[in-house]
Amino acid sequence: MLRFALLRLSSLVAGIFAASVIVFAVIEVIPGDPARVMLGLNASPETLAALRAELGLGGGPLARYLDWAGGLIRGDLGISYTYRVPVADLVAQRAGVSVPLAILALGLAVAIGLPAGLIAAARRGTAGDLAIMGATQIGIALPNFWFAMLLVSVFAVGAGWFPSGGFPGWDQGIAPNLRALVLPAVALALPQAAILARVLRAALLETLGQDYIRAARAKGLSRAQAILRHGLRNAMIPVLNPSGVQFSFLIAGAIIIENVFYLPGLGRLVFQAITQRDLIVVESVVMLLILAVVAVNFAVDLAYAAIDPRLRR
Amino acid sequence: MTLLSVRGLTLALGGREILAGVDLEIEAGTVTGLVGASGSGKSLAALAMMGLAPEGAATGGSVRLGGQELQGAPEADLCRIRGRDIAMIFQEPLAALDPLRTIGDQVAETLLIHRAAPRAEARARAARMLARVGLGPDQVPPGRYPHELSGGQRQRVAIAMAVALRPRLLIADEPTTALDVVTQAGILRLLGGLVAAEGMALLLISHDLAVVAGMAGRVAVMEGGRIVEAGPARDLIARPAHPATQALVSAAGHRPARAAAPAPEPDAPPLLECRAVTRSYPLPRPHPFALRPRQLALDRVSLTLARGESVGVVGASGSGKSTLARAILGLDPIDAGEITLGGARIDPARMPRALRARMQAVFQDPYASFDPRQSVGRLIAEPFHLAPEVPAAERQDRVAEALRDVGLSPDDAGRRIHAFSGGQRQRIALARALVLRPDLIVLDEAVSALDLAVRARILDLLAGLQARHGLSYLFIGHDLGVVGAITDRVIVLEAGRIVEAGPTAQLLAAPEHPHTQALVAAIPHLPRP
Amino acid sequence: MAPPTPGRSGAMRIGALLTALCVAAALVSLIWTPHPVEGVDIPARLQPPGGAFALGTDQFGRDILSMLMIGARTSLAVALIAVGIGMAAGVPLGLLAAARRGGLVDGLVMRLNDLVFAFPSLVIAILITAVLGPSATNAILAIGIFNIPVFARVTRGAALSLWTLDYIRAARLAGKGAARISAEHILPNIAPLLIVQGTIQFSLGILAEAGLSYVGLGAQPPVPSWGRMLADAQTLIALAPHVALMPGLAIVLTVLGLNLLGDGLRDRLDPRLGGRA
Repeated sequence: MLRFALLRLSSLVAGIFAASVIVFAVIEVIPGDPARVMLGLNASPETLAALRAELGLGGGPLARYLDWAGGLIRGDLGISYTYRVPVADLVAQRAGVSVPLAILALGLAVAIGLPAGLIAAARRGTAGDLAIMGATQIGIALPNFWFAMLLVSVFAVGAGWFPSGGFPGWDQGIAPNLRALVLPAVALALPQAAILARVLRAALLETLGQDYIRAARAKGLSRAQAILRHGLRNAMIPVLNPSGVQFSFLIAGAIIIENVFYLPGLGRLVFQAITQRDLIVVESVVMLLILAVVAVNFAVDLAYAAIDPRLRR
Repeated sequence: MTLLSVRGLTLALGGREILAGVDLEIEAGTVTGLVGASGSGKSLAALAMMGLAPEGAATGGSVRLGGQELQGAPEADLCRIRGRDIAMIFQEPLAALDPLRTIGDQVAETLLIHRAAPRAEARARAARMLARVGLGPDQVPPGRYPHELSGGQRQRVAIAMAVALRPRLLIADEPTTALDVVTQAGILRLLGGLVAAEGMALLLISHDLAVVAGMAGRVAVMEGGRIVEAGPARDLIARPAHPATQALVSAAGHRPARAAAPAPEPDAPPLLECRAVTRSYPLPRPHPFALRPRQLALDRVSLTLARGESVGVVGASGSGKSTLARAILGLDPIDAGEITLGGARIDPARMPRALRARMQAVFQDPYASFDPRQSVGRLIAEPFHLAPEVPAAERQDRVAEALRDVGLSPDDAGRRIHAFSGGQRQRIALARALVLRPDLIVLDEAVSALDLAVRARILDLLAGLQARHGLSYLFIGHDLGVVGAITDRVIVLEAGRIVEAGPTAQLLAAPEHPHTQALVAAIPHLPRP
Repeated sequence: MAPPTPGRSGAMRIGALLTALCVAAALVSLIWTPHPVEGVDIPARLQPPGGAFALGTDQFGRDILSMLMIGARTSLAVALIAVGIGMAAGVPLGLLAAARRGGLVDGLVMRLNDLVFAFPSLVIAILITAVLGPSATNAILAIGIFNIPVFARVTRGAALSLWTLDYIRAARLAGKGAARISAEHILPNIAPLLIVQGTIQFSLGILAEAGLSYVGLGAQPPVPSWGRMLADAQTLIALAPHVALMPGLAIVLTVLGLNLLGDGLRDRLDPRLGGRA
């Protein structure tokens, strides 16, 4: 197990390194002069020179990359050009919205998708199965930002149960902030839950046809016992498989959803930074998102190995 | 005392009748054989008796266990009976074990589910049960996972799972068909010993009458979803009345009539020669920075095969016989040694077309041997890739000729491979191997996946083709009984090494090496009438 | 193997119908739309569905049906080209990796795959836009790049299991090299799988394009696109719900249609049904 974890960890570090090179190259090297990109065509030579000095654009690309990467490792992400505060503080503050949103959405997706898939598989071919599968078809086809708009018009503008947008901030206590995150989390979670339910149902039906389920029944296990004791665990393997990619969809969805609800998270930060051409912020947030995806994929790999003894050697 | 009484058991799947009224009686503490060709309904009959017919199957008739009717009994009652009163062992020992749970847990589950013991005691009893089926804690501890075990060991786990509560009836559905013959003999011995010691009744299901005949007092023969003949094993084998029984008797231990190979010309060079062929495979690294340890699959293997001769290579799974086949065919490289065909060196990196064209092969799995998207004619013509000079019209004629050679019709060239059964597919594979008229045909477990009766006909075909075309065969298999039926000389491989070699008749009559002796002893025989 | 459920082929027919409808709308819009969409007609703004405008008008008085038809063009084109990019690069990479399984090329392709997987298409779009500014081409590139590892993985996985089969061994015995085997035996046999994956990526592409244009990283005005229409309609949802409902419904129905079609194709073309049936 440890061997497996170390092996995956080494490839993870290599992956992060390669990703950082790509991000750095795209933002700071390929466009030529990042300062000119940030200031636009009409900038005076003096302001350009001042920004170049501020961004430390003096050295060659390699020296600048090492400087930037070193800063990343230390947690020093530079100073935002538009906000005039350290990017690290900005990111930390905005992550306080985005991370709870992602966790809430993930939890909701699992809490809805898992039982739905289980019930559909156990009652295969019944009206309940048909209803669940029909609902998941719609769920997969829903663009989450449109679904979010519908939720707002029904539950916020219409019923008034939840705020239609904005975020009070954690210093206002937990309850109002959670209320502000409910609709965004639901909008994010439902399409994910639909995917989870479908994958789980298919995986369970596949394992239920296996000989070891028949062997378990021959031992005296009831159908339900066979599903819970042998089917579910084995079905988790194909369910885990796409979960890394699904998480990256979740992150992308969160970035978009934050814009529907005017949530001051990383998603809004990155779009504001794009419009203001604050490349330093864009670079940092993108790198952070990639780190999150890679870390989740690593966790998924470990979960695989924990479930499947064939992967631990 | 009658333990199990089956009356008029029927089963239909999707409107198709599969069991057309099965009648069967099993006495307590006896061994009963249920024999039939594949597709005769044996396995579904066994599942239906346990109340485990596939979803959507309609069953009828009566199954009484010690007076209690099982057909239509409430599911909760059946759950109490399964595992405690009736247990079952399946054909594929890997598929029948949950890959994610330790073998000890899976055996203990039988005890736990029937509340026969608290958890800790169930574990201890499971460990004792595993030791009893030959998986002692020193060699195979209960904490192992199924993928760490060999096929025979997995089947032992399945047996331990099934007999943990000493059921009154054990149903074994082709328990040894997926195993090699030496392992098969061991499993059969274990089953026989267990049922005798515990006073269990055993229903042993097989397509091979010889496997069943050694153990069963009574045998029932099944065909077309019915029991067509039943009686004491001895009488049935001595005087088979029904054609299906007669076919099974004649298929068991069938030896095709074949002439011995012509004596080779004294100074003629061998057609195929292997000199000290060695090959090893890398194993996973023990830690990320270690050198990869290597497993020796072939250890200085030398053999010769003369033109027109048929040589067998026999060994258990893992003995290296398939590695040898791939090396000879020029599919995989070797580490050391030399392989020559007609004096030309076999080197997978550089195989001139003319050299490749001199040998062809037939593989084990008739269902994996053909690209499912191509017509039979195109499949058979594939080796012409090696002979671009042959014009299209002649190719067609030769495909037709090859089809006739293997007992099929030239019209079959236009059909799709789906339309053919396993035995017919092996004929088509043989036609593909013949179409270039090669010097050597490598038969890599070519009849192992076939039913006994089908296998007998393919062996006859092979013998006939060899006589007609003067072919040379390298016949690779795990069953010395089958390999011996079609070869002049046999080479016995164990763990990558040749342990014995000699003329087939001599090897069968007086094996010298203990491994050869085990192989000979493992050949299932019909008791002599 | 269970026989296909009776409802299945009906669902596939609905899927094919919805997909055909969307494609037809996009094609027809090339030569004809119910109303022109270039001009601004303030008096006719925010009209409800029915009457002269079948699906109503937006805040500039443009006919929503006409906008949707032209928007279908954008969605389909972006998703189609992105699937094309993914297949054109991913399938050969996957075939190559499988043919050289366990080798250096295989390892390199798979690591490269892992790397691209770490970049969600939205992140790629953000990166490109930050440097080049937003456009529909961005959306195509971002979604297309993300599709490459998807197809490479599916191809490699399916090809690897085929490479172990005896008929590949027979082809090698017939003197065929890895390239010829990949083209003659592997590709035709995994094609059904690729078609199914293609419809999945196609529908995901439509969703991704809508999301990108919604946040302004995709097609720019005046090119109509469904995501853009939704972004414009967001503030009007209480005033004129149909302006926000129609583009959303168009997306849902198109994606639903493609998914139903893909599921139906999977049932019909599953290669596992071909071999042993």
